[in-house]
Amino acid sequence: MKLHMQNLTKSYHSGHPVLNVPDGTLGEHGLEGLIGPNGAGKSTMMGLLTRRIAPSTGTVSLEDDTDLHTLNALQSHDVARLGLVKTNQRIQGFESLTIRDSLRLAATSHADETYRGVLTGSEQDDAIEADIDGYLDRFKFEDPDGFAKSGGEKKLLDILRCMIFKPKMLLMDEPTAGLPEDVTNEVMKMVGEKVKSKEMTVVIVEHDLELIWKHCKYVHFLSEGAILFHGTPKDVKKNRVVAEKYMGV
Amino acid sequence: MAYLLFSLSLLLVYVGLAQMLHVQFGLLGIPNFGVVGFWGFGMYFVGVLQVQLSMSFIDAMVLSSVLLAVISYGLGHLILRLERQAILCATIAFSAIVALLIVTEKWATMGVVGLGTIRYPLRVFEAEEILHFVILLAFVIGAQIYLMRLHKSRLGRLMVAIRDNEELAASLGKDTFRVKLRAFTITATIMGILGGLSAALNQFLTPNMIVPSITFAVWISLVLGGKEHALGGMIGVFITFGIFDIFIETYAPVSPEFAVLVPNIKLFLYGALLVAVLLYRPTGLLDRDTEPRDILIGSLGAIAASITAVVTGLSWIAKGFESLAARAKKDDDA
Amino acid sequence: MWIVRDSIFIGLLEASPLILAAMGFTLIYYLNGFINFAYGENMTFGAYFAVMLNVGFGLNFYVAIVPAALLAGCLSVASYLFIFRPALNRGVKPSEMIILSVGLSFMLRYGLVLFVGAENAYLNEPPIGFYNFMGLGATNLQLIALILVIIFALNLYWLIYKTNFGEVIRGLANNEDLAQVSGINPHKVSVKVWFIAGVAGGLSGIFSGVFALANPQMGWNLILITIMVSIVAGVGSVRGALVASIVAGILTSFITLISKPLYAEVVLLVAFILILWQRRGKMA
Repeated sequence: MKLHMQNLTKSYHSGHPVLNVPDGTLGEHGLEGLIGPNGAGKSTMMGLLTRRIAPSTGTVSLEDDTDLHTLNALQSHDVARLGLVKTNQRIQGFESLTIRDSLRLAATSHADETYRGVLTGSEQDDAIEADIDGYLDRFKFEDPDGFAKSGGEKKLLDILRCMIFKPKMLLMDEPTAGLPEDVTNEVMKMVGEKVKSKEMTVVIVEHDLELIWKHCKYVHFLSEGAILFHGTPKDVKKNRVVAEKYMGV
Repeated sequence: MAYLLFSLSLLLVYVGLAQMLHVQFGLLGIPNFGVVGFWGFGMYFVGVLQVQLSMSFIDAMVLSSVLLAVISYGLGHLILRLERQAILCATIAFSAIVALLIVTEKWATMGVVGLGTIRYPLRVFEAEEILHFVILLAFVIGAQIYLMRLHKSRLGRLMVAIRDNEELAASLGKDTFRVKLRAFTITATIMGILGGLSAALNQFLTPNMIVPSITFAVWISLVLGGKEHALGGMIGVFITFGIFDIFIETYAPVSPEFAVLVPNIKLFLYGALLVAVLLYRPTGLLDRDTEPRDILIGSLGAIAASITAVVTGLSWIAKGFESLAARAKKDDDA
Repeated sequence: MWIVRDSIFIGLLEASPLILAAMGFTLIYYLNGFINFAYGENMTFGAYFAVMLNVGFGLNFYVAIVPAALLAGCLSVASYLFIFRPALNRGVKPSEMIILSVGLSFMLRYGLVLFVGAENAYLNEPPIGFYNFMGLGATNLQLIALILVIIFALNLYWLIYKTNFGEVIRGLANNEDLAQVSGINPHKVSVKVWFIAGVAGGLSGIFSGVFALANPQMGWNLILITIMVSIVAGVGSVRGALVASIVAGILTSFITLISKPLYAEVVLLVAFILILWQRRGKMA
């Protein structure tokens, strides 16, 4: 699955645009990275892509195997149903749902959450439960039947919620911030597997460049609201603009 | 006996309202402060159709419910995307509109003169009051069973998720606005149906029945009982309405001069109780994980303790008033 | 044209209590970020303090106004210190703060009923004189109320927008942590703001009492329109509250002149819901 941006701009109070992308595509290469200095517009771009922020001009469209969907008229739940989901940079969660319930919520199709279902009460879906067990075996929580306790657990739960939703395209907004190193490695391993088996395409926004170089096949460099360069990690590392603007060389 | 039956029926109406408010506020986080508006709309509309147009109770109820469903759907569309403080103000405004229109539209509601007499829906037996009570009881039990199941269901889980973090739920593909709109429409309409059933109970309607203290009584019950627990509203109503409107009015030894003060004391204590609960036990008596067995034991204990406390307190105050009155009389005589 | 002239005139006269209430209410909303329903009882108690001093202790009406308003200010501070601040410290959310304030409102209102009864109370007003004003009548009391309100409103406006203290309030409302770092004691400022708001509410209640009568329910009847005016004016803008309350006063008297008074309220309430809807996402 790919994301196309066309003439996409966002400006606040008719000022200078914080983001300006005449033409761009994300997700052509399986696992991609998006890097750039603070204030480059990465978060704005993420918000625009998932329809949390309305663009000033331009269109975002999502291309899957058969169709091209323009996202402009859609609400954020419609975007998610098309298969585009994002993990959160800031910790987000449902404080009254246990870890399992939170995962069940993400895995359950909205069409099954009905008033009639309350009466017929098919409480458990075996496929979903097996899926959840799989994730909880792989990633250890202090109390998997209770609530996520530490910030790290909440962050991990946020990522797992997105995974179990089975998106076709996943945007990860600074997934490693706040996660212990071994968990980060395991998450990246899992992401790698999913991309390899063509279950989803993934775009990672990260400050941790080592992680980007290690895992991503392709990297976009964003600065001052524009995509200044993109290419393989090798090319990006060698690029003079990137070096000057970002890596402070 | 007839009065007790009336009180018990009214208690069930309050339980029903608290159950609906539990779905709105406890599960979805919609602070509906216009409960009396929805209830009063149903009550008056059913009354007007029956008295002025001689419609049958069932027809009046159906017509009223359809209309109220349309109104609450429209209102929900306007307000459910707003943040909570704004929803609260808008629903109060709605109930104020209903109360004002009941006074102004004299041609239909008879205004302050009052509207009557509304008959019971079922008149097959002599004991129509009992039958009406049974209808209400069945309604409340049905709603309670549904609520308990809702708490364990996928829909209930989704509602709680929306209350906790609506944006996150939407990012997982949930159409949160539609869930809220539907639930609001359904529960607000049921509040109106409870109003329609109350019309027959009251038989004679006056605008001063549509007062904010009804909304408030439902709220205090839910918050006191536990807004996140399926049984919270019911327990809360048993305690508040059960003590003040049934126990004291029917059994407590209060002198007539003192009895007129009881409603004011009640509302004063409700206010104090609400402040105390929000400050010291925000979840209410039952938090979301309280087990049924604990509820039974706890509530029996609580009811016994509060009845003792209230009766002792009241008889003390009553004695004080009597001695004051006696002294005043002595002074007068002197 | 007479309708326009009359509604402006009557509207201004009748809006004067509302102007005070809206400004005072807005101050609290602005500073602490929640809707305080108990502010209605602040008005009621202001009126009853005046009745107590005026009728009970036989003070001259004009003399009684000052201590009554100050007492209302103290009541407001007490509600902040004993109820709202502890709740804010416990992290009660804004939507629950409102419920808390409704609880306090009922407690105060029915506590008052227990003491003074539910009947109306009347002030011993000074002799009433009628003045003719371009063919329109106004009583001396209405005119005095209007003048006092204008003076108070101007002072409040000056305090918020032209003084150091006003800057501190605005700083605190926007960012408590930052304000604290720059050496502001938020607690002291809050107490002052609640006092000023309470005095404004008390005065508002007294003048409502002058125009009609004092009744334990008067605050509850006034608070809804006060909240509406403040929200429509934009969150926490004292300037906006001033303008909106004047507009609401004029609008009410306009609709009243062309229809029945109760319809005026219905129209305002419907307009309120529509304005909220139209502004969605723009509230704090």
